Amino acid sequence: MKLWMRRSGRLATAALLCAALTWPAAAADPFEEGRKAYQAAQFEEALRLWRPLADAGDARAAFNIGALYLDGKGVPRDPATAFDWWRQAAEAEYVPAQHNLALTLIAGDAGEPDYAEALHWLVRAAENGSIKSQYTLGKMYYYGLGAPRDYESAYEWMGRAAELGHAPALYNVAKMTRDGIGTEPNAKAAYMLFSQAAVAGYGKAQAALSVRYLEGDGVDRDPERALFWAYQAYDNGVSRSKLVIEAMTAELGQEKATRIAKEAKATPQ
Amino acid sequence: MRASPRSLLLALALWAAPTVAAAGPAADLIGDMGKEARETLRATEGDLGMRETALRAGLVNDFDMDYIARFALGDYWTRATADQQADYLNMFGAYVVATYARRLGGYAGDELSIVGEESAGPNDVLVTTHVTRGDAAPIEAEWRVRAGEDAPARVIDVRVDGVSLLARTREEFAGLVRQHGIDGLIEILRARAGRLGAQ
Repeated sequence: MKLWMRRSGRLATAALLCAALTWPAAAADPFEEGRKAYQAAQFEEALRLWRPLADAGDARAAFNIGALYLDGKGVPRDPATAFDWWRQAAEAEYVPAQHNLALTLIAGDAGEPDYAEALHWLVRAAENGSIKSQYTLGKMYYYGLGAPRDYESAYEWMGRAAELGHAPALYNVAKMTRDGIGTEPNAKAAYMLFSQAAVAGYGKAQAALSVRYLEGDGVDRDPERALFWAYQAYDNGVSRSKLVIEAMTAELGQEKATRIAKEAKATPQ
Repeated sequence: MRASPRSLLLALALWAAPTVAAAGPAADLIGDMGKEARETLRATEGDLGMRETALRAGLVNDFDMDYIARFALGDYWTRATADQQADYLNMFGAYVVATYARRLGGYAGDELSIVGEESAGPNDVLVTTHVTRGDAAPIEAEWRVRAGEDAPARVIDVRVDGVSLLARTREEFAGLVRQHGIDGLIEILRARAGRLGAQ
């Protein structure tokens, strides 16, 4: 290597070292500092750091301040103030705020419930990709809240959430598919959807799946699988699955039922 | 700042070990629940949302959710269909644990002391506690704990400043059912349980 190259290399290294030593430390990000304070349960400090950001239009900070007010962290609990902060963030297209704003309009703890406005914000959040909003929007159409009952729209929005693995959505779409609500009835497709939700640990889907196996609906009848899923559902709090457990135990015999019960308990839900 | 009675329904579970020796299983339940919640929330590992979520199992075990849920629905319980009852029970539990577990995070600095324990009927015990925050005057809360012959002791109500939170909830739910029906109440509980916390 030529001498000038070695010298210039050393000079560059020295210059970098000087720059590193003399350059002022990067200013702390007040939003991140606020998050650190929040995680340490220093809620007043988090609010102090987030408030100027929210006032300057930072939707993330405005959303988090709303959450502090809803939970009464560092401030007296005040759902109406939470609502106001979420509205600010929602209008700036911050999706979690759109979701919370809609749910607060349904919950009615920051004023009278307003399903029509809730629907408006759920549509925005759902179109912005919120899976939870897609599912809730589907339920709103299903029950006719905020708009006339519309099973096709309910099926479509819950279907979007189901495609992304949302277990309650999978279960609801499975029921609609089984019963031909908002779509053509299809027992085999319903069985597949119930299976997906059941494997995801959703108790009501496990109960429904056990009945599919019990009745041979959409799948070949299989008393052992019916009993397995009934045990899983029962352990998940679905008390009516006890009827399937009793019926299948009577059919299969106690010894086989005990083995399946052990298998169900050993299977993570 | 004075905590609202409602926010204390479960928030009182954040305390230090009781300052008065626990005399019976009811006081033990409250003291243990408080210690466990306090240790969970004051842990340094994991984010706050995870620590709050970790409290949920304790809430489900220490509170008799089925009893509380049925009482809160009052006469409407018998008028509900079997499906509505099942949905309501599921959603009530989700609402309580999701809502109060998150609110508990706001009480990590509070201190609890058990100041009394007395019998209240054949199966119930009232455990009186004081909760203090900094220099503020203590808030008194009475916990009604029920234990059957074969059932473990579990909380069925909390009275704060003389107001039963279970009675207040029942009154609120009755108003909501009159206005929105049982399905409407279930959707309201679902909405309250589904809101997101700070990110």
